[in-house]
Amino acid sequence: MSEPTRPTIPAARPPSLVSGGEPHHASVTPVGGVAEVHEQQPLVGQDLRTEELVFNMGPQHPATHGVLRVVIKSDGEFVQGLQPHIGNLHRCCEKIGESVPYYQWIPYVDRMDYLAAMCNEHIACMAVEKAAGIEVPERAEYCRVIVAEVQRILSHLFAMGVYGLDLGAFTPFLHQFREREKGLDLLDHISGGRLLYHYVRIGGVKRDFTQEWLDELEAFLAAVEQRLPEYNTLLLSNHIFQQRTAGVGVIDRSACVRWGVTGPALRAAGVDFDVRRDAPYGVYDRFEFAVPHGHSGIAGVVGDCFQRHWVRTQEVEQSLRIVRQALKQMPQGPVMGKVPKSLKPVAGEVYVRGENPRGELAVYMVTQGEDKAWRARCRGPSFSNIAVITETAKGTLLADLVAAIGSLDIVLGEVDR
Amino acid sequence: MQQWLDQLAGSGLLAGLPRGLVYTMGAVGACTLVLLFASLLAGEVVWLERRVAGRMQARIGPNRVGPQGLLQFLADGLKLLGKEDVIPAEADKPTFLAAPVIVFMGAFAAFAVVPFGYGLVPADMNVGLFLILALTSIEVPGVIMAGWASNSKWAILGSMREVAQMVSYEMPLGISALVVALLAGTLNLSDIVAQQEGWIWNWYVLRGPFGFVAFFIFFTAALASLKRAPFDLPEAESELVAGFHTEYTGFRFAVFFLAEYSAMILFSMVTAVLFLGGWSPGFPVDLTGPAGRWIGFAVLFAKTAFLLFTMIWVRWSLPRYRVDKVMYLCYKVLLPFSVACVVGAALQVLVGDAVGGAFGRWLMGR
Amino acid sequence: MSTTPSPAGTPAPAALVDPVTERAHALLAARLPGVVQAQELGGRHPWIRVSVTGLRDALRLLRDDPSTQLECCHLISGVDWPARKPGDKAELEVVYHLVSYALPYDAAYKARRGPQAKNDPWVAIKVRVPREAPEVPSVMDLFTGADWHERETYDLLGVRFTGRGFVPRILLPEDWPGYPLRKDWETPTDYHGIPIVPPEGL
Repeated sequence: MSEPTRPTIPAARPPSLVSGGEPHHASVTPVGGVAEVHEQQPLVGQDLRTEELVFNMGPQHPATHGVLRVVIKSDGEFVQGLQPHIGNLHRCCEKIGESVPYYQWIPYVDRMDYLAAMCNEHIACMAVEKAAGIEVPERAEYCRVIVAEVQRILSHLFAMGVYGLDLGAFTPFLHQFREREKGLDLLDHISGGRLLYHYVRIGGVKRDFTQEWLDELEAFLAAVEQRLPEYNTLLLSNHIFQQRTAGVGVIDRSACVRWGVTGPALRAAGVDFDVRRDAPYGVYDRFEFAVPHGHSGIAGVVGDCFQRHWVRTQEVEQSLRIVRQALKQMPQGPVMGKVPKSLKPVAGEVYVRGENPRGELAVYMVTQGEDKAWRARCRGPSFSNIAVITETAKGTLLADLVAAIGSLDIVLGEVDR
Repeated sequence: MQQWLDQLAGSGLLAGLPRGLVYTMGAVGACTLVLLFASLLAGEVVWLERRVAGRMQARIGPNRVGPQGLLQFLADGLKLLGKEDVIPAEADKPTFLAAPVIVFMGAFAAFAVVPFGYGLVPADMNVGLFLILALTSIEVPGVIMAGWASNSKWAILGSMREVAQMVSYEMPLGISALVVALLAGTLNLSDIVAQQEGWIWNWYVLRGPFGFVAFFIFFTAALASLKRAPFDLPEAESELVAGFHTEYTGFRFAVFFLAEYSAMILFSMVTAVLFLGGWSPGFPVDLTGPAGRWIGFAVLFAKTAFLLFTMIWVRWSLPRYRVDKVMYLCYKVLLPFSVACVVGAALQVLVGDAVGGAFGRWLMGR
Repeated sequence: MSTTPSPAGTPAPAALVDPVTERAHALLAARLPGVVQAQELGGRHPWIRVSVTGLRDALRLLRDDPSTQLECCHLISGVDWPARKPGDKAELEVVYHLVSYALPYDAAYKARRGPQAKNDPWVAIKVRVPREAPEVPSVMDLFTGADWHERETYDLLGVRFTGRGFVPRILLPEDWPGYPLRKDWETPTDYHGIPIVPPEGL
């Protein structure tokens, strides 16, 4: 019996510089970090235009969003078309989901959106629990909510700070990271990891809170609450920041819904929707919190960069509210439910969506009675969030493109998985 | 300076040498001194920037190399000297090599006319103010040359943007300096400082509303001319595309860097001289004696340090302006206001002349 | 595919159909007869399978009709169903999850549903195509965001989406051979001469 021959990748053919056409057909080879520029002949006559340039932004660039490559076609100042090229961070998360048992797959899910790891784990564990019919004890649900909201605060602190950095305000970035350090230490003390935790497990959480940890949590919440007005003064109230972001990068409701944009970007476009309130999971239906969404009462246009930033600052406040309510309501009890040693859910499927800091993370899991999933499809919110700039960034200034991409707050880990 | 050179020529040690040679040696010596002082100060301004930035960002900043990290610039300089000197193959070599020199020249040459104290001015020229504005404009062709010589489309475009910003902001800069020239009635910087001696209300920043507004316009225009935040978008956009000094490595890059910081010091000193009374401390005291002039130097140094701190403070607090807003600010805000200040200052001088007496002379700026 | 009763004792309310799925199914059955091939409306993952030819009409109807307003294509997933038993057909399945932001659940349903019921207003539409000729009409013009999801489904599973021109790969390099998420995928031994050693178990 002959071994099936494994496919080999054919020898590379030389990349071609395509003349004109859609930017995503053009393979522009980076030469020494700066793209070889392909020029069209300038049109002479009545319509004397400047040359059209096709150039590369990324995959490495100082705006920290990750390994995103955007091929931009512009005539000098105005962007005429752009095409993001993703896939540089593809780590086969879904294939691994089909290859290892469920409990081994959960740590891989952390790494999708590495800035919101607790939230990712929460959704993925919920999917497995729903598929297997595992009940999670109430105290564990509250623990999950608390760490998820703390994670949301940390993620938004990061997003707001880095957005300031994109726009040239170096200082709020470091101030917000100071609070983030306290939060990372907090999550470190409960889970053992600063960024990637494996704390939320199938059936509950790994470890119960100690009184010491709860005190640390209170201190963290107080620190964030005290500093939040300062951050708003440095950025939101700053005249230059408003000039750079108000009316810039507008993504209206229609574009959001057509492209599947979710999270703060969707809410900034005026849509009053939050999965935690409108399709609650876990124990989110027991908390009272507001859902900030863009409106004409604040600076800027509904759906612009400023309102996206504003929505994030408001969400930090609401998360503080939720954590405080959760701490009051939390019952005593176990933190891990009954999970069979070999977890083999009956054949079936499940679709779970949750509100991550960047949008709606969803997991579509198909089980076939084995210890591994048959299909573990993950929807990273940033996947759709970054696709929308293909349409909305046309006609904007090159300088505004950085502001627009930064305000979407993407993490390439969940774009590429 | 002239007196000092005469003294030097007449003294016993150098009496035998021809006068011209003594003058030349003295001039070279003075220039070297000023150059060394300016370079050292530029290095320390880098230290100040990094410490102040650190403190503003809830961290410490360099404090290891030397006491409180003051020798950091030596370590950085040695590191940059040790780097490989790469010149792009397609680059225009003579232009490439000349560009840093020209930018450096523009930044350092103007120190020659700054009055550090009473009589402590290397070249006491009657067109001192004009010369400073002219010499700092020499940087502009240097920047163009640097971008051009890099032979990269994006370096050229980036340098063009920076040059547009520098050149545009020279207008409000010059016009607000003109306010001081009007009030003082002279372009000689030593005389300008002399007329600000005495009490603090003699300072041109406080002599009427036009001097006050002109001070802020001058300082803002200086920030923009220096390409410092919040006007550093051409440099930041060079994260996306290559800026004018991307192709420069090692010591050549250090020269650009040094030129930027010494231009910062220069503009702070000139602002202090024009508006904040120069070497006079704000109350009547005689600083013309041989010891007093060095105290005056310390006073000027303190004012310069304060203005440098303000520049650093502004840089690390504010986000960047977009390029079109930068131009808008120059042409539609600073320029009209500075022209209005000139007209107002001229009127103020006329009114002062008509009023007469001590108050009239105060209004006139004398 | 049936739902499992939860170990805690409360049976999953299989008979409880959430209003969004109910309306969607009623709409499709009434206005596009013959398009719906199979469905399961109760439980925690109700789905409606439509024919390949009727897919676009079905999705357009669900998007535009005011009773459903499922205007957002939340996720497009591909699932590989190779023939495991001799009589089976080898198929690829494409699942569309549609979501409405205009019509969330009303209070009446929220009061009725139990812990294992469907808590979230989405609708799952499925199509199945044979593995040898997996051609599905593209819905990129109906939902712009479907563009990238379709590219990913093509990239990882090889489902060909027709009616939208050239479909480039999105996550994998342009010259990658094969479709990794298929069940019969074997990792190649090298990539452009760089050896790939797959770790144990994968």
